[in-house]
Amino acid sequence: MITRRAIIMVIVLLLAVWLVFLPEKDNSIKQIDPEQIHYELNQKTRFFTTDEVADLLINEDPSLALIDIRSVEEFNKFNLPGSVNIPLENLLSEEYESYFKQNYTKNVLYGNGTVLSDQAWMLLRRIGYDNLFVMQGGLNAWVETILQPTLPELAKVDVGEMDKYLFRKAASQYFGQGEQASVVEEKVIKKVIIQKKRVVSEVAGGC
Amino acid sequence: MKDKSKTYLNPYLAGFLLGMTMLLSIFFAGRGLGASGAMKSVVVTAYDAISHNAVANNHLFSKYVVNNEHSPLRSWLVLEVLGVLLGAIISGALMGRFKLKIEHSPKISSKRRIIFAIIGGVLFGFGTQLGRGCTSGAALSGMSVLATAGFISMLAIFGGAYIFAYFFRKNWI
Amino acid sequence: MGPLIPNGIISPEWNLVIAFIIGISFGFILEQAGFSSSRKLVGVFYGYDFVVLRVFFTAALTAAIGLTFFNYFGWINLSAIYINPTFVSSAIIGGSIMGLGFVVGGFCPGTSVCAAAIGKIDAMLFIGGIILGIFLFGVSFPLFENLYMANDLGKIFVFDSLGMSRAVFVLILAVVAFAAFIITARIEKKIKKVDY
Repeated sequence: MITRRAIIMVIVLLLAVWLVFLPEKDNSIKQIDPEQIHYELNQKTRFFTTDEVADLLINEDPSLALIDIRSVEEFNKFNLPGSVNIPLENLLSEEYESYFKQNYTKNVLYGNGTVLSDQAWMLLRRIGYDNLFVMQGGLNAWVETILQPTLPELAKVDVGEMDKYLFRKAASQYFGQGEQASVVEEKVIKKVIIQKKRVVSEVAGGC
Repeated sequence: MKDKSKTYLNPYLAGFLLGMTMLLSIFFAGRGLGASGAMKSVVVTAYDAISHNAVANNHLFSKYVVNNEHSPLRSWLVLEVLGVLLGAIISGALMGRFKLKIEHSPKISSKRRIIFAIIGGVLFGFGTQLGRGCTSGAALSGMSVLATAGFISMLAIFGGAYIFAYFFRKNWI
Repeated sequence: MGPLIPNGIISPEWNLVIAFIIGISFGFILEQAGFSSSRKLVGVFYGYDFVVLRVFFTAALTAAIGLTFFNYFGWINLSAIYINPTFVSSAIIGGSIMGLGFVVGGFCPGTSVCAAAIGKIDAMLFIGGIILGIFLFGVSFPLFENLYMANDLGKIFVFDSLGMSRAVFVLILAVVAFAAFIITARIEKKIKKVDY
């Protein structure tokens, strides 16, 4: 019977069927404006220097999460202690979502240099994840500054520079002077505490 | 003047409008409708006024009086129910349905109706506390957001009513 | 993106204003649909008037479909809205008691307010009964505390419990609702009319 009621029911059923074919969306992660990203790109605060990373590692700071965005082979050849390998192409896959969907750890991305880790930073920031950082200079800078620090030229020596050098010398001892840079290390990856992002304030409701 | 008092809105249209109201409530305030919560507020406030100590020691009620202040949950529902009252008054006025009376089946006396209304209320009130809501807050709102609790409540309320309906049929039909 | 007040897009002072306006809409629609009459309401349990089922199901379906579309369009963040927590035992037993109260008293809290608003004395007394019932539960709470807290499954969704996606459940809900509408319309025609 083609009554008005029947037509409405068919329309509603079609709407419901349409919904079944639409992709599921999770709106709990806010998307970030490109302008915002452009602004943040130029801020120094999104960088961690190699010294800062070394310091946090030596102190075994649990809020640090190092993410190596290079390929698996490169990671196995050498990686920073406690770092997790998420190759650039896999960054957005669901498996690794939990690393980014929490407010607990500072996620510091690094690659061999800075270009790729910057790309990773932009991708992830665009989705809306917070607590994203890049290790400035990547592993190349790590080797130069931490593993094989150079003594500052005598003419330029000041207290600050000397302190930095001494720190780096000590750090290089700690990290093994880069001799193992080409050795495949068997490291126990430090467990990163993953907490699902929780809704900050509970909405009241009920009857 | 045509008697409009028996004219009712098409139930499907009413349901659609009610659903839209629910949608807007969720969109604006993040929550659905409710009714029994407001009545609970009345009880707690009155009880608190009589004996603050008793309320503070009561496991259930003490959560609703935080530092002598009303918890926000209570105010939302109380204001919503006041709105319900006003809305119904407006509708009743428009349709000429205002009449002070005791509505009952002609087969029973008004006295019987009153007794059953009170007993029914006590039972329902008790049930809303155990069931964490009533047909509006637990069942309707719960179903709208597709919470499992909403569907369990709805099935329990209507299921229970259908089972017990037989025993009270004399009052209605 | 909604929900607007919890997300800070509208200031919290508006919350009570919105509650009041939503309430007015709620009360107006209910009374317009005839929910201010106990004899009309219990018709769903005796087969002579299925208005409760029609309004209820249509409202839930409208809101559920609407929310799912809003979510798809990015207009609402579904993880920021209130989801009723599931306590299986108390929901079933409390619900059954409410069902009993419904057929004995002829109202539920929301409809009793509507009926009282237009002058029904039995509704006003029903509300009085509710107050008493709530009080009774409160003072005897220790007896029921275990039952009240039993089987806490958390704020789970019905489609998760049934192992399907949100949209598929909504579709099934629509089909069930429409089937119910068609069947009950036929039943209503066969039952003796009640004049109220």
